[in-house]
Amino acid sequence: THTHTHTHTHTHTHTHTHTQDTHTHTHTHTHTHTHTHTHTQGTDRGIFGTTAAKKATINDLVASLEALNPVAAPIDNIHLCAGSWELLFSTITITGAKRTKLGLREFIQLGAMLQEIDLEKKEATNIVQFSVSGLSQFKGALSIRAGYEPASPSRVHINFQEATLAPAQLQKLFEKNYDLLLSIFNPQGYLDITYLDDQHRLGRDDKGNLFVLQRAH
Amino acid sequence: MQLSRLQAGERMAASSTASTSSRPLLHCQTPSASRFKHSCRHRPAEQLSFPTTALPSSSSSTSTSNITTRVITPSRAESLAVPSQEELPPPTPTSTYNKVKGNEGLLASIVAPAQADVEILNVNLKNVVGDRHPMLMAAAEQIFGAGGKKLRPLIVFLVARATASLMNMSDINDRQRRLAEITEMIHTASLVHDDVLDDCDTRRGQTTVNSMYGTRVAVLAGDFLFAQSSWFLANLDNLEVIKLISQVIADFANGEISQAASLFDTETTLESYMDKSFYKTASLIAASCRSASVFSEVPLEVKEAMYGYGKHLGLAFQVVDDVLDFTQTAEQLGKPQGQDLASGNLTAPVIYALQNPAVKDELLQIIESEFVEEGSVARALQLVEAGGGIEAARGLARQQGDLALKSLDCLTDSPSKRSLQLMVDYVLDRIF
Repeated sequence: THTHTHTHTHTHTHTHTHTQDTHTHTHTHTHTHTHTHTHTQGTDRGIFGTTAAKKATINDLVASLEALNPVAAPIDNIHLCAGSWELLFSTITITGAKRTKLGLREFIQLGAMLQEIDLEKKEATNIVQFSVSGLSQFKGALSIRAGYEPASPSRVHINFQEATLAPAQLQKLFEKNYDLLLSIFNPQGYLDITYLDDQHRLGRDDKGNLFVLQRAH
Repeated sequence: MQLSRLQAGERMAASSTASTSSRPLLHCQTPSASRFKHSCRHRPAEQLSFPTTALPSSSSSTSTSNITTRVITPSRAESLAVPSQEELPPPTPTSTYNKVKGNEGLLASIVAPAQADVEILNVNLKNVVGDRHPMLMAAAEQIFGAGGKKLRPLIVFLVARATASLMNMSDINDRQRRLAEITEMIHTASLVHDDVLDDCDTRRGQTTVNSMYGTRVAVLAGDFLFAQSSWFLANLDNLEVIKLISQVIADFANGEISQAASLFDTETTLESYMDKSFYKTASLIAASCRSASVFSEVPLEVKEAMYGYGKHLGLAFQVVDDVLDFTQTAEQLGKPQGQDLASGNLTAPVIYALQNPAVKDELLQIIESEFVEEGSVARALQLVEAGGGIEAARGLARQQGDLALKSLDCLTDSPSKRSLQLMVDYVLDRIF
């Protein structure tokens, strides 16, 4: 069983402030990360709703991680964000009529939600994977490409560029509700990176959403 | 989907909102469910030969020539205005029946004019399944249990007798009997399949076909019943009736699909709810009532009135079912309270409550979150009650019941007509 006192002990013993060197902090935060992993694991990324109690637990864990943020100016060190990430949890939800309209109950399943960050082009591509059951089973994905622009040491502005839905069968399925689908995953706005280490990233956007990501391998 | 009228003359004087017949997705306590109840009574060994040849076609054909479009479907113009609390009609004294006798006694009174008809039907139905497929014979008892109320064929018999009486016919004919059997087969087929889809172990305390014999037998049994009823229908040799009844099977599917497509949709209107309910439940009753009258060779306005009776009775039936899902206890329902709501199937009580500013916001939020918080279904039930949803839905059922009664005005007095009137009481009885 996990207890908060365990986490707090580690928080209090942590005295270093990390500027560029981020490699030595991992053991200190390991327990909090483990907690966070455990609590986000059964939530299915939180996409179909979570209880208030669960949300509160995750918020507490996230807040304690953010207090420890080893990379104080993540945007000044944006090279640390390069590459592939996977979403563990977010406050973005698809419930109620939206979920029904998008066929995400029995017919279409939501797969992994990934992010590719390209430092050269200053672009981030979010990938939402789908798999469709039924007479013809197939997989597909929604790709949303956006450009980012540093706005402060911890903030980037995000500009939606292009959305692609493939394959054609998936386009057909979402045809009627395509705008709804895009509106859910549209990253337009800004993003504050509130925690960064070599394995984990936490972010909060301008709509009050929280994102918990882990490096993908 | 486009709903069109059959004929210009299809206007029914008393027509109102589209009667929605909806087979409840989750098997609530419906009279039809009681068909699975085993009866200890022994049936007389009245083995009537099951006709395999086509029945003689009617000498004077009914007006089939004008039928070029889809059969009657509820029209948008017949929209039910949402009754406000003040507008709800006061309880209409529909019968002087002594309520102390209870529901059972009422049903017995209703069945009386068609008692023999129903007994013959029970025997015939079991033979239909058993004779052709011994594999299904074992399931036959489950499917056509002698204890079942057989409300739909009963209504067919009563309409047949009441319209025969009107036309000075001495008795109902074989085609009307066959129609009653077809009606029950179609209804049963849909329920057998429903139990598979919903993975139900029991239907009103009785083990389901799929639970006892497996999915395969249940699916095949349902297919068999649909196919056999279609064959019997064709052999009635009446195009009007064939179109009326065939339409129903399409309506079943449409109703279920449109219900699945609107789960948790808090913007569901009463109108679309009534449409769905029509497709799911009232469609079959309306079509079979009209068809029964066709075989009595009644004039057009009587056919339309009988359709109206079936439609409004079916809608009342469904609204009652939907109310009971909110009001009955878990023991009475045989499952947790508020299952419709919990699964996102928003029925009359909720739709009304969502119009009430006093409860709207909280109710909306709970539904949109899909009841993720513990105790939220119970809270939603409270809000629906407090928001006057139950009360308004009762009023809606009463309104449909009154429209059904009005449809009977064209009939001359007879024991069967009386039974059709009492049937309305019987349907409404469970929520008043």
